[in-house]
Amino acid sequence: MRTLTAFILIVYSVLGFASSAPVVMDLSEYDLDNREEFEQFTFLPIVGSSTQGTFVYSSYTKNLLGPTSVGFGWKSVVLSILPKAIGSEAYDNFIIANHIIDRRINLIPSDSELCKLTEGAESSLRGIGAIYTTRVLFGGYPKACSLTVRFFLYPQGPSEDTILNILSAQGSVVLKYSLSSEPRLVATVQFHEIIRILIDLGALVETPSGAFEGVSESVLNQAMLIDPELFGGTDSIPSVSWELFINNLVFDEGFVRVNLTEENRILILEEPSIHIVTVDEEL
Amino acid sequence: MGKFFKMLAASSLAILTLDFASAVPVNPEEVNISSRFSTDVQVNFELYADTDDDKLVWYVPRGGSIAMLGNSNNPVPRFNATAFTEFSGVFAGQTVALLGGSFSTAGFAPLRDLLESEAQDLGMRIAPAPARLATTKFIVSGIETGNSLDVDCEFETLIITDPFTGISREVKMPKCSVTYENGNEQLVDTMQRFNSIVPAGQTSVLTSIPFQAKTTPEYALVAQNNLAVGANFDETLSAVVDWEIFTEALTKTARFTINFNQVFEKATTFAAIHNWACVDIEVSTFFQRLVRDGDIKVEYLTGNNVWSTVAPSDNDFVGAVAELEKLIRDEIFTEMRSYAQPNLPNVSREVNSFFTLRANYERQIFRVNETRIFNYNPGPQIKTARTDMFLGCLNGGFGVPVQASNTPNCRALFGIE
Repeated sequence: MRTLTAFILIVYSVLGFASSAPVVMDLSEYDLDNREEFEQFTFLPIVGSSTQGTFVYSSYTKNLLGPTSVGFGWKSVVLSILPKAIGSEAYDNFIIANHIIDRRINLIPSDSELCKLTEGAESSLRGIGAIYTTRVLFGGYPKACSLTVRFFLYPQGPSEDTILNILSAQGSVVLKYSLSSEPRLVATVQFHEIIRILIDLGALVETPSGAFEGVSESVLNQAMLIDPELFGGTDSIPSVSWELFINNLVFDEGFVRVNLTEENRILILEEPSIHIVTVDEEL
Repeated sequence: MGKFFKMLAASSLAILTLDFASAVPVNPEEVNISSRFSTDVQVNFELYADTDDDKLVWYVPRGGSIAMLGNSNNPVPRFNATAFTEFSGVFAGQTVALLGGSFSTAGFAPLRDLLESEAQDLGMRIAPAPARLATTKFIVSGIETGNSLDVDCEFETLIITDPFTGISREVKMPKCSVTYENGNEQLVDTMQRFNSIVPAGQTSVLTSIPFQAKTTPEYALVAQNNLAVGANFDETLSAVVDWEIFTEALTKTARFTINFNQVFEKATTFAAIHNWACVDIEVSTFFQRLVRDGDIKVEYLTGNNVWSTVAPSDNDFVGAVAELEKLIRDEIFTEMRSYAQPNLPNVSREVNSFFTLRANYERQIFRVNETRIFNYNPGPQIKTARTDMFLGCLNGGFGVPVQASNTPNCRALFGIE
């Protein structure tokens, strides 16, 4: 048996709100460079396709469903959050003109604030003495989420209409999430190991200053034959890795010079995270 | 004459083996037929070449939805939703929704057309892959379930304090949950009951999976709204079928080099341990050991026409050893069969055979070291493929016929002209 007062709010939530680092979604299957941005939505094509992909929406609208009776004096309403783009001319025309096939999935990170009652709505409900519980459901695509508010009607309590007015008023529910791609590792080069192999092969020799020096042609020819795995490749050396390697050598009149430092132990090239959308709305 | 019959027997065996191996998907690690198709096809279908017919492509759709009857201009979804007033249980007197329909694993028509036209361009034809086994899982309200889910809906008693008068009293509130075997309870606010008939046993990957569900009063609102806007029912109902596809490997070439004297020496010790009567599994183990220990050297022909002593995979090792065992077993062992028939019915009638050492003096005296090239098959492998299905892109229900949603988004998916 539980005790419930108007001031103690029970929130059953199916969502875990993580407080740690933001959840980054794996968007590697999407060709983010070719995404199509519109005012209310963005289309992310999958790599290698121009027609298939996923829509991400940037603005939403709230829909109040119900109320319906659930028995024992309890009634329920559902606040359903749907993208504004659905049914809009820009959206429909884009799909028709480009023969888009939507994968129909919601790309919403799990640490989002989905369909939470706002502070304002909660304090209004408390102020009128409403007894209620809430429950959040993930949305069936394209809905972002829905919030079920179950309220108890009791003598001297607020009327159904008063409660519905608070819930249907603008700003009763929060939708807050941000979608970005993970920084992508483009190349890793085990620079020190490669240089050591070149020293062992005699292509590079130590100079009095502690740097290593060799004939450019010989260094490059030998380097090309080194195990591609040290360049982050499998069968061959990836061109980005090779470029990264070359850029860390100093060329000087047919000679190449290199200093081994803590910074160039492993060379890493990362593609920065791409921001797709941020939604921060009180609906 | 005897030789003729032997040849005849050998050729009919070859035909039998060929028949067995034909018309079966090939392990995609050996022949990657997908790479000949566009990304649009690759992301929507798992593709397999055929062991026998190089003009045939087997496919498994990766996605699906509700089954559609009718034609592409007027598809009729196999789905309906109705309102229902509960007459018993915790929701007695309340309105809930009954959802019923059939998922289809056939994929989406426009994508299948794309696969077909690309296959035609390559001079190929397509066929749905045969599945050895299908495992269907439904995700009902976030709970993974087999073919049914029964939710306990009862009421809990709460004490409510009137904030204005301060008077407390007991009230009841409906609560639905599922209790797992380990005692953990999970609240379910959307579904009261779910049933389906899932495919069992051997099947084609094109099949339909009928289901029926009863919602809670609250979810009836959402169901109605989903059907008004054509949204998916992801939050309550989606289905996944995991297929087991039987794939054959291609026949490969290897060679072995055997020192008969050394092998006979080992065989003598081995047979002695087994009292000069080894059963077949012991003989197989013996050959595996000979290969592992290097008494018989096996080399595998790799893609670059280079002989390698390293087996490409465990299956290659087992397949090659089994084949070379067939080739040289009779040089070393003699099979003794017992054809004694039991007098009682319904008892095992398996032929009992054991192997004893053969006095193959010819091989031993002439100290023959031999290298032979032979073909082997690494044997079948079970590959898994998955079809994910959603319920959505539908309009109507609750007294109105259910239709495919008319939005461009859904029309494109179903290929509605």
